[in-house]
Amino acid sequence: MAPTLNLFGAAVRVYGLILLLAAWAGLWLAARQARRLGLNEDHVYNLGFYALLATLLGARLAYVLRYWSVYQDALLSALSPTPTALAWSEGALIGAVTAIAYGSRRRLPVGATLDALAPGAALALALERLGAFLDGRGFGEPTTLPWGVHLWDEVRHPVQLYEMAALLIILGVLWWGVKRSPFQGYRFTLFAALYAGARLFLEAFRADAPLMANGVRTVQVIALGVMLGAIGYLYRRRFPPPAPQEPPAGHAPQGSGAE
Amino acid sequence: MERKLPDWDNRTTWRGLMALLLVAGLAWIALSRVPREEITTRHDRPPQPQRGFPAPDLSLETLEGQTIALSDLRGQAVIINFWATWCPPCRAEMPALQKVYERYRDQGLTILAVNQQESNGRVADFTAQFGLTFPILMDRDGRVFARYRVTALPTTFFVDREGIIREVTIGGPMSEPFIESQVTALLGTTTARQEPEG
Repeated sequence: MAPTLNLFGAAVRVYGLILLLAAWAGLWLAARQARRLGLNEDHVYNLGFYALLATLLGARLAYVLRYWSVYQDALLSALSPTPTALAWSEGALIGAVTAIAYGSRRRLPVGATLDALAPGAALALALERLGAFLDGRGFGEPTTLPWGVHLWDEVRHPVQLYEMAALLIILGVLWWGVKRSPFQGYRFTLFAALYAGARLFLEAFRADAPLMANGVRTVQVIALGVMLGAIGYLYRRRFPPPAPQEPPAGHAPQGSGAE
Repeated sequence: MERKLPDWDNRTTWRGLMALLLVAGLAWIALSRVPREEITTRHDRPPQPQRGFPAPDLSLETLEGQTIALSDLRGQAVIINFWATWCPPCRAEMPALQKVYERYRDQGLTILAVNQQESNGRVADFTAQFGLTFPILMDRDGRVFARYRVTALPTTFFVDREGIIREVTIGGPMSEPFIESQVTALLGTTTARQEPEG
């Protein structure tokens, strides 16, 4: 447990520092993969960078709008550095829109760009899980297994490390395992399927999982849908529907489901 | 189930895989469902200084010598602010805390400002200078700081009416709207804007 460092009199959460490191490492790897795939690596790097920046700014904007009645008379305080004042899910949406806008302005091919981003995303998420482990967030269910860790008054599954391990394996598959790619977007689809599969399995060991009314873990349901959607897309690309009559690209397969 | 290596050029292999994953996925979801009787265990969790856990109890003397225990404040939203007079961001956020306290005290907000082992005289001067009216708790032996694992100042815990920690903010200064936004979230958890009544 090392939740806080004191640097020059300011309290800095280790988790925040690791998030920065994760963003930097993820962008670096995405740029390298872009070069391997013959894309403009600067454009891919910038796309990731602007998306993350927009996520952060959008998260703060969304938080301020959510509590508009208290912020409207003191708008300057919306700029205060409090890291708790962020609405992440709305921010992620704004980040995604930014990425799409930047990508289409630079005329980046969608499938290849997603392929370039996939290993970086796996690396960044793996590092984020390490930070979560050190910070004690996203903690696991109690266990009696010998590798349980003592946290929050119980011996628990180190579920953050399970997730990190799964992401590193996925990273290995994407970086070294995929020798040839049958179509643009293949690596990303593979990433979506594998990551969703890992979440589906590992979410069961998490103690703070969001639940639906009947006690079902929400993330598992989403993960099952994403996993089957991604595999269904791979299937559709492997066995395109007949339609031999109409050459002008009639097949618009269902989306692979981003995250 | 497999008799030999799967044939990936065969549609049936793919369909079989998808069906298998669907069934296995649904079975795993059902298996890892949280039983109904365990869903409300947030309150049964051991008290820990962490979001989603019951706030560890604390019982301390105020500057005036009166004893206040967190367990006596159940039913109220509580901000527990760990601070010291020498800490600039702590000083900077005190006026904001005071304003929010004045605005929401009648709706059931309490602020407990836990001071880090300073002398009565120093703390009294400080509260007089800032005109603070919420309870200032004197953690003379540092027990409560240790219990809440405070490693940086200021550290602020937002505790809801049921005694569950809803948010932890490490560092500061917190702005007045931020504190207020957290307070409205805390007060909104059970009573959806009831007018008076403590």
